[in-house]
Amino acid sequence: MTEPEVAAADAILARHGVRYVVIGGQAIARKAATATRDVDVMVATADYRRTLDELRGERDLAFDWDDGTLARFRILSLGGVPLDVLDAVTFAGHGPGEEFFRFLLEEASEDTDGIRYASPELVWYTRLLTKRWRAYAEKIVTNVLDGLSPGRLERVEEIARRFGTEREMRERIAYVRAELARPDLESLRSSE
Amino acid sequence: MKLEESLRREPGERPPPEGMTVRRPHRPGRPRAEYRPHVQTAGDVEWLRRHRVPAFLLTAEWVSRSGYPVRFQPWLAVPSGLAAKITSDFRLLPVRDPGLLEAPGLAELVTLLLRFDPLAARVVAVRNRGRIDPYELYRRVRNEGAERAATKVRLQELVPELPRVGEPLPLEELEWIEKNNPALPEPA
Repeated sequence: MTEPEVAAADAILARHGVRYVVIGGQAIARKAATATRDVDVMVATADYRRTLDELRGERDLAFDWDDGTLARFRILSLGGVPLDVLDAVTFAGHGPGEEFFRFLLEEASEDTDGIRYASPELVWYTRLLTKRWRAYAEKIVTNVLDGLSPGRLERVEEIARRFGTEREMRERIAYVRAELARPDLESLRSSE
Repeated sequence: MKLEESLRREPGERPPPEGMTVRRPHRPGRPRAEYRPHVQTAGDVEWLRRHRVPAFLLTAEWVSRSGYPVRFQPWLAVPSGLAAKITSDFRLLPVRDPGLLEAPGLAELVTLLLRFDPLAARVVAVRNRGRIDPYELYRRVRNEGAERAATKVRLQELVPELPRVGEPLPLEELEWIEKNNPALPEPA
């Protein structure tokens, strides 16, 4: 079932002909526990500017800010739920954003009810690559307690190797693994 | 029923509903029948609570109503002494202090969340700042030994007396997480 926030975002993006993949918590929500309201979508680098220009004219959105690779809108019909639009280049390492978006579309996402969602490991990769990775590491721990396999971290490492970000990711993945090894979590772990 | 090492039916008490408990073979020197609960539904949890067994079903609906919209499969919180003697289709969340489960309110909810989703615990605490008794939260966190998780999400902002254990997450990151998940609108 499509969540109302995702359905609203999809209707808006479809009106403007935007090609996107849902990432973040709404993509994880299909597999594990997550906070549910905000919607994050990734677009191809070549489409980022045009997408923002289009969405700034949308009646059901209020524009908040744009830092060059991430823009925040608010969905008015849902009381201001955030809709974040991300440029794929943010996660492409030293390669072009197009390559990362193609990888996301073809190898790291799947279709549900006509909407494309990123895989959990792709979401974990993007989360650990941001400057707020420590807080997102907590979310990954919660996802694992909710049943996602910690083995997915190996896939995160593969993605990092593919895009040349393994150096910065090494410490962050080690941090998540250390958190997961805490004795107080042992009795709460379930398996995927 | 009362909580000992396991559950035993007290004199004059009716047997539990069929299918909900497994009766253990009578052991010499044990005067009463011993039961092992098999908890499958929210109704089973209610039955246990009515019989003074401290069990509590922590649901996403409760967390969402308390200011942090979230989805997760329910956790069945039980005293750690009982956790090994219970079977359940729910995931078990063992707690040290059975008193935590007697009449859980916001302080107890925050304490339970610290165990498996500290970010949610912080947002619920911050969004209910005026409604949480800081003394009660202090007592619950200390009793559960959850000081490390509490420090991680800076609950000392609400309860300055809580001991600091480990490193807090950067405040800006915590505020970002909160901003990204606005509370549900108040029901009309």
